[in-house]
Amino acid sequence: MSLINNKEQEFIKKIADAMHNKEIADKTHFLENTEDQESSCWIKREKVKEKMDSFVVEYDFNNPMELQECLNNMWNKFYDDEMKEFTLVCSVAAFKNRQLKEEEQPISTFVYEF
Amino acid sequence: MNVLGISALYHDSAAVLCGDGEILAAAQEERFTRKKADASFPRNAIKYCLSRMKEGEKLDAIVYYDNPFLTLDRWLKNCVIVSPNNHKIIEKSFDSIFGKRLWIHDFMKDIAGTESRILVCEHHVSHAASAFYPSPFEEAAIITMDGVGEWATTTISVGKKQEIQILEQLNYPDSLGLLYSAFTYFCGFKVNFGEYKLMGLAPYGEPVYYNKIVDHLINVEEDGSFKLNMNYFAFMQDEVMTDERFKDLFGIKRRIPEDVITKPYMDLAASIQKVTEEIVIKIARHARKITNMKNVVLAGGIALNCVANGLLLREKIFEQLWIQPAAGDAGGALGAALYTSYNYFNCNRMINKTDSQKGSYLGPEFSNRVIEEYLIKKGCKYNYYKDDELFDVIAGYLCENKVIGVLDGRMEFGPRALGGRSIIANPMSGEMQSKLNLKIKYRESFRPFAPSVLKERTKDYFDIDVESPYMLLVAPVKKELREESNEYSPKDDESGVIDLLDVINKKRSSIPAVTHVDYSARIQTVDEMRNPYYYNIIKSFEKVSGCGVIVNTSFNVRGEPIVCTPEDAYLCFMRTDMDVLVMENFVLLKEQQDKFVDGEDWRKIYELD
Repeated sequence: MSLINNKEQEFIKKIADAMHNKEIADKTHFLENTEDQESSCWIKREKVKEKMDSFVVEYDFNNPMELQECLNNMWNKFYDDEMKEFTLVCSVAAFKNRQLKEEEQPISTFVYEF
Repeated sequence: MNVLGISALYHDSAAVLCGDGEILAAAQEERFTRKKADASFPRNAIKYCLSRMKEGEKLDAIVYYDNPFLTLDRWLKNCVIVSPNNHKIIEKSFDSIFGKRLWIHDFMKDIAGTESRILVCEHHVSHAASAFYPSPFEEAAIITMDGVGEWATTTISVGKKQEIQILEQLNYPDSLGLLYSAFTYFCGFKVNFGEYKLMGLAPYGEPVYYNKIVDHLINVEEDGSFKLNMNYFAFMQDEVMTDERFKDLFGIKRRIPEDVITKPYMDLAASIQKVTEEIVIKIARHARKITNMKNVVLAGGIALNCVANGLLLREKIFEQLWIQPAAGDAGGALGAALYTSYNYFNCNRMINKTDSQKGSYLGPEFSNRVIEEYLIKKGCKYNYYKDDELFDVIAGYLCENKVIGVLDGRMEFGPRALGGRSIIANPMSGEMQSKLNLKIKYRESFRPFAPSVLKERTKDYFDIDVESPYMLLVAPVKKELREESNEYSPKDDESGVIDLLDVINKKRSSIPAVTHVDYSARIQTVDEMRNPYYYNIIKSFEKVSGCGVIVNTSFNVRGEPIVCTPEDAYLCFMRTDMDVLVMENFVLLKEQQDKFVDGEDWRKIYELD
């Protein structure tokens, strides 16, 4: 029985689970914690900078195709082709759940929202 | 060029307006909505900021302090990593990410004109910019440390004139902020609200769990980089911070909020504080080495750990230190606006050696005329004093050990009250700490109060040789002022049950109300340039009492945001046992006021934080 009620959430879980089970890469690849030297966990930023145009970028999309293009462009820059499996479900999820008005929400008691 | 920076949808929403790189206005949304750490889109703060734009000018850009696509990338990869135990994390964050954060441009377009650019800025760049650009340095090392932005949790950068270059970073889940929050949670305080309470609790304990932390929870390298052992933490897959193994490691259960604080939790607080300080120092040493800079600036939530900041200052790894007063997420709005001004629009950075942050007095102000209109409408009994009398009157009340709420000038930006929206009192009174805690702040007894000291008198009271205008540095009270007979030792009581009220109320110095159990104090140095009104209050008090220090605590009750308007100030005044309310040149005495009929039970409005 699914632990998730929402269709898009289910799809995300399915893709994530399939990706986890595939032996496609060392999981640390995803977390970018590759170490260049011994006894240090610092990640040199030059590597990341190559993948980004700038620290400040224009941000806009108006339809699912534009959103998909944005996501695919990002994952192209990261050489993360596998992540494009999420592109379609993310665009559907975004347009189905778009909140046009701010709703009053209580602050979670112990949850770190990040 | 007018640039509006926004932080929202995590915690502590804010808006900041910069004009050609100058900070014109800044405010946190919570101050308007009266909802602590309000995370909603900051419409009210934006409205205020835009009201400060010069007439006839247009908004050139709105910039959000986080890149939603990069955050989505991190969140999805998190789901992959913790699979198949990812259903909770998917359900918890789904609406926020797909319903709001990806749609941040929708919110921004509501405000923007057709000519305004809609931009996003990387989270830690926003923090870095908030630390570097308002600082008085042309060049500096920049260290940012928080829970997490998109991916980065810690960065080391170099700032030169208007350029910022990130050199190295640590990525999620290896996060000092999340580590500290895990202990905050475990000790029964609210995550994102209670971290500074954990810091305040630390001096009561001993770091007996230090070895357990560094042996099991975190592996720290000599260069300050670290990795968390995720077997003990649950935040990657759950709504809670810690795993069952965390509890088993320390042999105690998570403390239930509002329960009595026993010694093991004090010891946990002391232990994690020691670990945090060591990491901060190691990171600083590493930053000095790789940047070759003599100055350093800090931002990110960890930079609010003023005990660690004080230690960093005393270590003298760098020659000079500057910390962004709004070091948390609210300051990200400021950094995003500044970074965009200088790097997207290429505004010229004019370095202000005095204070680009303008004392962090960046919020709304209320004229005497507006205040008097309000007082008349409410039927208040008040007196008006001209400047040449006002400060002597206030000083007189301080000498009588009255508790005084002060609203003057522009509201502060950042978590600290700096005399614009403060409750002040006589620090020499032995009972003042207890009085303020129980009758005014309605808060836990172990938390100390902080001093505001005349800048020129700082060295008479505290062992610190730099200014501290933003209350971000902790330093010891001078030995000559201490009463060593009341020195506190955690070892005194082996039963595990310590009466914190009894401990904190022992007189430890000639300024007991602001002296913590370990003789430390979180200092604000006050100078005439930044806030002449507040300076004059303390100066007048010094004239009659000889003491150049007063107690400064934020003008609010527990759970409430710091007051913003005369109405907020009046309500807080009437709902508590405060004796005097001062709003600009108007003074109200509690005993003169009519009986107050409260339209609502404020204890139900303000959730305990």
